[in-house]
Amino acid sequence: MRREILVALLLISLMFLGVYTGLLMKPKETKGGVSVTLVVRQYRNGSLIKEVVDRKDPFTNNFIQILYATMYNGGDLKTYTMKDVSGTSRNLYISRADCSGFCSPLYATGNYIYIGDGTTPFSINDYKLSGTNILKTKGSTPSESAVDPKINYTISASFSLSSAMTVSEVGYSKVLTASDFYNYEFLLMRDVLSTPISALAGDTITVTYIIRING
Amino acid sequence: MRKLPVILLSVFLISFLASSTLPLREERGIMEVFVNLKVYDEKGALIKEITMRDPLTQAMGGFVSRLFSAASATDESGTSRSLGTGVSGPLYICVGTGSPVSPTYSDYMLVNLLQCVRASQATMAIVGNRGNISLSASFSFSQQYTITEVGLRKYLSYNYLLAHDALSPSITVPAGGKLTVTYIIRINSGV
Repeated sequence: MRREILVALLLISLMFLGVYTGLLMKPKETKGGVSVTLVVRQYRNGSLIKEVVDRKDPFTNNFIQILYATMYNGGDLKTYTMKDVSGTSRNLYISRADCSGFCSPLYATGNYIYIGDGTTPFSINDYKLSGTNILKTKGSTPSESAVDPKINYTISASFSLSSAMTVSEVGYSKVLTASDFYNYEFLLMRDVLSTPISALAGDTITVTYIIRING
Repeated sequence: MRKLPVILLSVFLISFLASSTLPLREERGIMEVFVNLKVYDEKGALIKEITMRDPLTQAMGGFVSRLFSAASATDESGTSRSLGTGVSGPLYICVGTGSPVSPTYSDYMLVNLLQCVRASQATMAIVGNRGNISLSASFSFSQQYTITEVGLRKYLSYNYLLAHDALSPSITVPAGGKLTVTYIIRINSGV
């Protein structure tokens, strides 16, 4: 009797395992909205030795603030607040009639991509990377490609390491003009890599963000 | 007893193959748009409520893309325009009675526009690692209408349709009734 129960339990377990395995092997389908894919590659002597692809963390509160400003329903001289990479809160104008776009929330002068060794889990309130060893370089001008017929925006950067480091987090920032007319840098995306990359001096790390507008 | 391994293997394989009939694993977008519609009768009683995920249009893609790069969008006349950096124009929620309505990413206007109402000022709430931006509008109708489509419009020197969805099935608002439409833009960070 006990053997029969065990066999029955084994059959049920195998049935669930079969369904679970089958579901895991199914491709993922992205439905609507905006998705972000992060690709981090490690090269040594020109050869690709590791690639990490993540699709989970990105947008920070700063991004939501800009989106919120974009959804602002008219009016003039309103401000919203974002935290720059130094941790200081800055007011930005949603609009101001006398500066014709210069002080709009989207007036920007550049973007940066960061890599770092921090492992602190993502929080929507992140305004900087969490590690102690952090590198930063200018991001490429976003390139646009129509895909079926939706849009992908690709932003990338390359780091040539002069010393060994563990790359476990990546970030994207944008420079915006605050209401005091000075430019500040704001972190819009941060990712903690699913698999950290142990890099040596001389390695090259490339970071590519693919922002997919899925419709 | 010798047949047991064969039976076990068969159960696993059958379950594995059966899983192929299940829907694809769905990956949630980092940013999604939902629309909620509530229909009230002439006495103010709620008679119907639906919520659905709303497809973005090329114009919404353009507005979001501006957070990363210069971008353009097609206005409601079908003309492609550079969006610049301004944001301060008003937002409208529109309903229509078009038929058939098959929303696509390339839509830039409703099939048959009935009415647009300026939306409430957007509100924002952040809970955990999720952010919601929501705005709504109310429509009052003196006669009965069957609403088949809904859209979100931003005015920035020109009108841009940011989202367009078909109501299937359509909803009927009775004479003297009211329809409220709420758009929710959700950011699913860290999930």
